[in-house]
Amino acid sequence: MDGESSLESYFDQSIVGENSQCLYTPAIDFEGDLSIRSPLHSSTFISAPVEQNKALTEDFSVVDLSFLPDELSVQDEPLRDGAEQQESDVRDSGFVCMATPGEQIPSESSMALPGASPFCPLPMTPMTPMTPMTPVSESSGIVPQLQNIVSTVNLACSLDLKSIALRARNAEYNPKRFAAVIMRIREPRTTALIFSSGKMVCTGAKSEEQSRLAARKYARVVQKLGFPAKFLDFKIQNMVGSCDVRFPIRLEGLVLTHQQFSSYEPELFPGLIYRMVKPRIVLLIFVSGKVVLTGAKERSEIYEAFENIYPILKGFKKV
Amino acid sequence: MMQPSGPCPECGSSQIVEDSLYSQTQFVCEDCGAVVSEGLLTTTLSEEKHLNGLQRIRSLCRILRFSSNIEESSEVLFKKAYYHPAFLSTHTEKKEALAGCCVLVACRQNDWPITMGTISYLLQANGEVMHKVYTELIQKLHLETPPTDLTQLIESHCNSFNLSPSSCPDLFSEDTTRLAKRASELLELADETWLVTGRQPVPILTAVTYMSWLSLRPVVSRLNISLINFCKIAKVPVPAPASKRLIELQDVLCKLGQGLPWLRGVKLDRKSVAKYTEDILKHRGILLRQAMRKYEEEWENEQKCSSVSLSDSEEDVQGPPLKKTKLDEPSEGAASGDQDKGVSSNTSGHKGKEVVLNSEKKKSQCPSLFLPPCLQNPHPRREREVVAELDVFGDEEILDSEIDMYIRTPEEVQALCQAQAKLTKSS
Repeated sequence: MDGESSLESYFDQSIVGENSQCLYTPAIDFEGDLSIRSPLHSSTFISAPVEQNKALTEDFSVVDLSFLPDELSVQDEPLRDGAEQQESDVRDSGFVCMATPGEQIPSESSMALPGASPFCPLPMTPMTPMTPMTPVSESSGIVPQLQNIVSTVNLACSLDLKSIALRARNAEYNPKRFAAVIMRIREPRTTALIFSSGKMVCTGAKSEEQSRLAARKYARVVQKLGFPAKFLDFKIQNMVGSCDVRFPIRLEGLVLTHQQFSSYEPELFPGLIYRMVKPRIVLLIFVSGKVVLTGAKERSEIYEAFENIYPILKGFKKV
Repeated sequence: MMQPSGPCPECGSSQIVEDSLYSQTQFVCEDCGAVVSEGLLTTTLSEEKHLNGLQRIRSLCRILRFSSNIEESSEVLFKKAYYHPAFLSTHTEKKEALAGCCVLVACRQNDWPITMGTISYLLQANGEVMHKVYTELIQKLHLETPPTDLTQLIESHCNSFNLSPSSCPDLFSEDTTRLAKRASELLELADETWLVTGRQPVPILTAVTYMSWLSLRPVVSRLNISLINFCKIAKVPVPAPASKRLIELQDVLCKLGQGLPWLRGVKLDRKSVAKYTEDILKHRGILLRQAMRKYEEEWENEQKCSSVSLSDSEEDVQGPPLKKTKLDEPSEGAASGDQDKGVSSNTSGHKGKEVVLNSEKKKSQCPSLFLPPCLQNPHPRREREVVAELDVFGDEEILDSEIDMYIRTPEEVQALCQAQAKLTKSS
């Protein structure tokens, strides 16, 4: 079943289309066989430092080659073009052309990757039929949406929380429960915690600019209430994004291959908690394919983290 | 713990002996007989708790009959963890749970199958506290614990069911080895078809055991017993999600059963599928492949019939026509396949959130016949406000009028004060 359908889907995929990387889809399930070695390992090429000496996934071609040094990309450019040309000509014999990092190399990636990269400079007829690859440099085509931004700002004056709670419409203050005023504004829809020291936390915005604008509005409200509020040290502390890879994911398999980064406890939480090292982001990966990324200080970290995880997840896609 | 504090102050001799008077320890100088110190607390409270914890670990290991290996490693772990700053100054409850978590970690690392639920039940600990302590333990001590394999748990789970001939009527009793064997086959099937990933293990085990019990002897009297009654007979608690898991499992069996040639004319539904479960399990490999191939073929036929090019807008249009054509086909396996296809094509149509970078639409892939249930029945979510991201610059002008909206007028403030005064006066 698997073999036939993968060939069919191969025909269906346009080269540019299926967003990313090559799909090595053997007839065997991933769970069964974790120790397949690529038959096309060429010794002349640098194989990626496999940081974990664990079993390799079957899906060799779908690797994030970001850890490779930059020089390699130069070497590979001519290859890539040649390969692409040939892809369009030869359709029946699947051939392997190693994906190149292309423009998608983040500086270093200490993230352990599921497979060494067997570099294959020229298209060769492989021993097993494989679907042709599209260069890894093509992004996944999915952009994570930012859902929440948490920022802090210093108003630099001590505040009388009781007076604020009394004179502001949108404030609540319950000293027995929490030692801060909880204030809300409608546009942008956010919530702020205002402490008596003058420090403020602003949450709920969907973008950095919105968070800044909201924080300024809160500061203005406090000013109007009669306090000499300033707007110092505005800093974004945390950003949360989410997206959907559109296919179900075998979490048990993922935790086996990436044990040092993942924690999957179905008794505690239905999702897998993946702590990526570079960038330092925590991802919650669910069986439905939805991914939540959190812990970022910059938007680019979220995008980078997703681009790093996408090839790994694709390796677990059951075709 | 019990250390004499330096030489004897009277005579300077260092010969200080521990002596107890009425069970109160005293340090007495051997030479001159002066009492150097007395009433020392022999152990601090935390040390005592430490000992308590170690004792608890030992008794747990004994109850569960673990090897000395596990007992030792859990004790070592407990020692390490107890003195870790994260756990040193915590509530007693947490420290108690810590003992259980250490045992759990040791089991995991030694590949011994056990659930957290079992340990918290044995310790009479609060499940939530156990969870928190466990996650903290793993994080703080950077432990790697391979997850428990469910297939290993099934045997012990089946053994906990009280189905010996002595405790229940003959018709209901069942040999646990047979039960466990059939149950593990069903569990494998459930795992293959996405019913296990991300779910609590125990309800799945219960559902699978029930199905196995039904199918081993699908007589009318057994078929009439529901899951809840079965658990009552077997004197086992019923976890709430177990009935949902059972329904999902039976649906999968129905889908597969339709591939069996000798069941072509038979109406397969959840109630009757137990009778054919044995056959389905025997041929499950072939049935799975067959069902998925058939599903893909049907899907591709639909794709060819409905539209030529697959563009974004058209995909949405495809939704309703696909559904219609399917409803008309009275083909085999169409009944359940329909729902899947219909729903999945609908879900693929409602790609609300993600921004697709590529301008040309990718050919949509054939959705799988077996999907995790959360994808099969997507919640009718309120359309997430695809916020047309306010083009905000962060440094714009803030209107006074807007801010004034959030500030009470002096009259309001006065009224509020008066109301509050009245309230405090009356109370």
